[in-house]
Amino acid sequence: MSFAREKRLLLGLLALLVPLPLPFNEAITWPVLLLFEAAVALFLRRAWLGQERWLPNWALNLLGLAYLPLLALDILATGRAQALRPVLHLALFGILAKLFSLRRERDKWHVAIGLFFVFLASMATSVHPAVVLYLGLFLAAVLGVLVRFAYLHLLASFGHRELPGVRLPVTRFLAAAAAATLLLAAPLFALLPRVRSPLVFGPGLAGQGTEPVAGFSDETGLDGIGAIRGNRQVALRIELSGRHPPPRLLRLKAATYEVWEGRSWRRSGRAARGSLLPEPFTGFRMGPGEMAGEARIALEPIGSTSLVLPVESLLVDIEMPLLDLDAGGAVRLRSAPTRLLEYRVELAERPVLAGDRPLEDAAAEPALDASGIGEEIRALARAFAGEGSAAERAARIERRLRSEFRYSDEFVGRGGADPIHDFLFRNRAGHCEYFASAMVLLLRAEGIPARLVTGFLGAESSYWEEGLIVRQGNAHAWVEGYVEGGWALFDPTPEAGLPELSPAGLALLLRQAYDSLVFLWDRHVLSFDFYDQVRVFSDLRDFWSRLLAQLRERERAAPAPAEAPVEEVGRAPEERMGPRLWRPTVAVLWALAALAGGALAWRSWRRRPAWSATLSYRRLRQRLPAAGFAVPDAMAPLALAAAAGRRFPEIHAEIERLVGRYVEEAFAGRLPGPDGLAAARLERAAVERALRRHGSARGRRARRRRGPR
Amino acid sequence: MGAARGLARLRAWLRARPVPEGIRITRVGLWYLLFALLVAAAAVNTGNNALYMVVAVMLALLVVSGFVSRANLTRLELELSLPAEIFARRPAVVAFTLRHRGRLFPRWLLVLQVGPGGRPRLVPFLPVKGVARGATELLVSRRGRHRIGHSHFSSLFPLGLFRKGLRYPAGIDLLVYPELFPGAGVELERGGLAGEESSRRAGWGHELHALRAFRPGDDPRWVHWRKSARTGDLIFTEREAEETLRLSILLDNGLPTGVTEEQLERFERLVSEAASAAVDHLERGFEVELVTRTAAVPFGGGARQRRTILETLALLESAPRRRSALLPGDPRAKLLRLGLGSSEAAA
Repeated sequence: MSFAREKRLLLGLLALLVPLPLPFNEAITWPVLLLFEAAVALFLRRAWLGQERWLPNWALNLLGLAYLPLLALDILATGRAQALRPVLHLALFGILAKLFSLRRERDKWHVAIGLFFVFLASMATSVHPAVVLYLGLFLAAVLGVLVRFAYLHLLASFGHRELPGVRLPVTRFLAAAAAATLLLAAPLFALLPRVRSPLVFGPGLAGQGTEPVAGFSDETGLDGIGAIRGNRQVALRIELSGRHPPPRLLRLKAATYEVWEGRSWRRSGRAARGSLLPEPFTGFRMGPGEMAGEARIALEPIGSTSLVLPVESLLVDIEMPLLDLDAGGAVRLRSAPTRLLEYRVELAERPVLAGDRPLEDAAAEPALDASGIGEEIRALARAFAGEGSAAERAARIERRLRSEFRYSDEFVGRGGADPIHDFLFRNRAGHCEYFASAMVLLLRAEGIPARLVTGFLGAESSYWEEGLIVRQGNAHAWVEGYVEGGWALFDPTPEAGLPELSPAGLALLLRQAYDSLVFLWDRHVLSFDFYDQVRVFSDLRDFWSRLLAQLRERERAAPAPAEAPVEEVGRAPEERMGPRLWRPTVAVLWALAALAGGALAWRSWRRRPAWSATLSYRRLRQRLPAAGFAVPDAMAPLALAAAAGRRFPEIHAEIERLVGRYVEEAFAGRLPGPDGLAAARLERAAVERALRRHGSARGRRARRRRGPR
Repeated sequence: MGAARGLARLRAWLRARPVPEGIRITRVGLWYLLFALLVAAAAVNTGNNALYMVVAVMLALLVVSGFVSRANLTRLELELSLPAEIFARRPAVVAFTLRHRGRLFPRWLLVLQVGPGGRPRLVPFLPVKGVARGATELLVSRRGRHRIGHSHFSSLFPLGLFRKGLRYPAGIDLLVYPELFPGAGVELERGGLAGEESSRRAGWGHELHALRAFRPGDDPRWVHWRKSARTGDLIFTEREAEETLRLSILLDNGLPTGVTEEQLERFERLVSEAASAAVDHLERGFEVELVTRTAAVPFGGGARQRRTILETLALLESAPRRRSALLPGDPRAKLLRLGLGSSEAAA
């Protein structure tokens, strides 16, 4: 193979690999990738066939000119939102053009530079942990290509023009070098200086799409939450300490809605007290009360400005200059976060519902807006509520809805012209948004201010992490009603409609392992920042101090040194959410050990000696004693065949043929052909079966002779 | 005493260790570093951790490459088999045996060069505990004693970013003979009296040529007394003249004070001519002697004489000029006079 041909093939293979992550990151579309791969495959075919004709320079220039209008159209079509896409298209086109015009030595470096650019784009736009596999694969491929190029360069300098017959085995070296590089890259990654906040490109973390999670936007329909009920993606993680509700009853508030528009709800307006400002050295206070517990929350980017908080939240400690509060007491951020957001919350014993007090003028109070409340609904409300205080009437309405209506997901996506009316009077079944919306209207019909609240209910504990996991499927809707001078929480959805936790089992274990891995990736890689670096050094310093103290045996005399507070500029010292690292570590080690064991087993299977008559003869000699036929060491093959044949007459013929093949192979050098091999396999199997039978029978006889113990 | 011995052993061990020859970055390496810096700048500027990952991997690859390139040149053992005769300005084929003493990884893309004048030789792959055999060329420009202090190994492995070199001590002493000129064609002076081969002329050989009357001046030892008694007159025995198979090379290595470069070059050329003539005549069966101001090799023939003359000429140094002429050991031998001041033999 000529050098030029080999270089073309190597570059073509790299070109096949390099743009693979781009469609997953929505940086280019799938048709573009497939077109590019098809063109590269065509190039590889030409290179493999050793074609000598490639594009000359004038054709290259023409191609470039021809692409210019396409580039302009591309830029206009994609607009500013996807500014990277036309650039990537141009890069891919350039790579293709250069591949097809590879004629000079320096052309290959031009292609390599183009491939490197596309590789950078693939990496920079990737947010999924699977990008490490891509990085490892690309690293191994580049190692192989560079080693090969160095070899070809040396051969050329020694006057070779074609590849000599000497093979250059570098597979093991490439694997070891790639592994060593990745291992060394990990601490380097942590040590490189960070001066800016982490920037994450791509469609959002944890593989979530750019579409906001339904149910937490400014306007929500009646099917948003129902539609994501089966979604297992993680919405947030929460670590609770102190007194707190049990995980199954954990209720997190995201948004409140007050204006019913017939088929959808519009979000509550701004709170009367405006934005929340942080108190010095503490955080944003939601309401008065004694702290009973604490929660640390890591919120995935769910495409919403809602800051999800437990309903018991007293104080929010978050790195923000201010927070917006809506009239329903739900907290909003100025913009939807694009990466993991961590914050700490102080919890009270009971829910802290921080919504505005209803206005004196009932007509102006959104929570008493009578839109959608007809006479039938009023009558139903009177029938459900009965007489009594507002709290008693609200409780009765809640009870009646829970007991007399049926939870069903079937109504998702099938709202009519007046869905609540249909729910109350026709279908009498629906999901949580219907129940909550109906209760809001019924309460308002009774003159009780009420609003719809969306958020999450319930959390599952993870085998792999210390905190709890709240999934998008935990989304739920409930009601806040103003009774007895304060807002109270009502949940009219029947028990069957409450979000279920995932059933325990291997599927949940694997799912949680995957979620944990993605979270670790998001938290410790994509969001790694200056403070994380400080923490790493601080942890190392603490570890070193502890180690020294242990070595000097000072722990007996002095108490164990307290963990030094992390000096984080602009942040209060706090512990970060940490997974139970030992479990995933053990799992990874176990998986690696299984892989290594599998690789070794495969290797020894591959290296097993090829079948030969000699091997079969040796095995026969080994098996005969177990079947009760002692074989003297010096017994000649033919004598053995005769004696064993007499001892085991049923396999006499097979033994003779087996020994005969051995003698031919070992002494006459005649190897059996394919037919002989097939026949020999059958004979060997028959002999071994018979010998095993004899061996088992012999064992049984021996046990019978010994008798019962 | 023990400490001194230990110190001596340590010194010997240090001398035997390979010496790093530094590292040279290739063009590919320069581009690689440039791109690493560019990506690092982009990473720091944007804060994109994915770009940080790429930078970390590129830097790690650089470190691994440096470590591997250094390790690739270690644990090698080289044996050289030099030819019996090495002439100046003539490539000498040197056989080598390269052994890999390491246990972990093979060695790749080794470029071996024996001495500064050696021709580089590529060994693409050397397995663990493997042996590679081959031959390379050695070219020494001047005669005399030379020392091959080191054998030089270099490699572009693994990635061609750097060329790493390592010198292994060789400690080989060479004696390089003068350059030989093919077919020297020197004009020799005729020798003196008798030789060993008959020439069919009257002379002073041993073979009978003719009987004649004694003349005054003839050597009385050669009177044929029997014939003379029979005839009553003195009869003289005339013998055949003999051709000589001896060559005396008289090389005047006396040089004037303040000798110029040109004169030194011419002197070296004369030494080469002497060597060429000696080798040529020895091969033709002559007995050759070498006479210089500072050394003399008596007549002799065969391989031993060849080696002795070549060694003498290899080590011949200039001497102060003297007026006295160099004399051959056998006046009958053919003469080749070489010197700067005297009438020089035709080339």
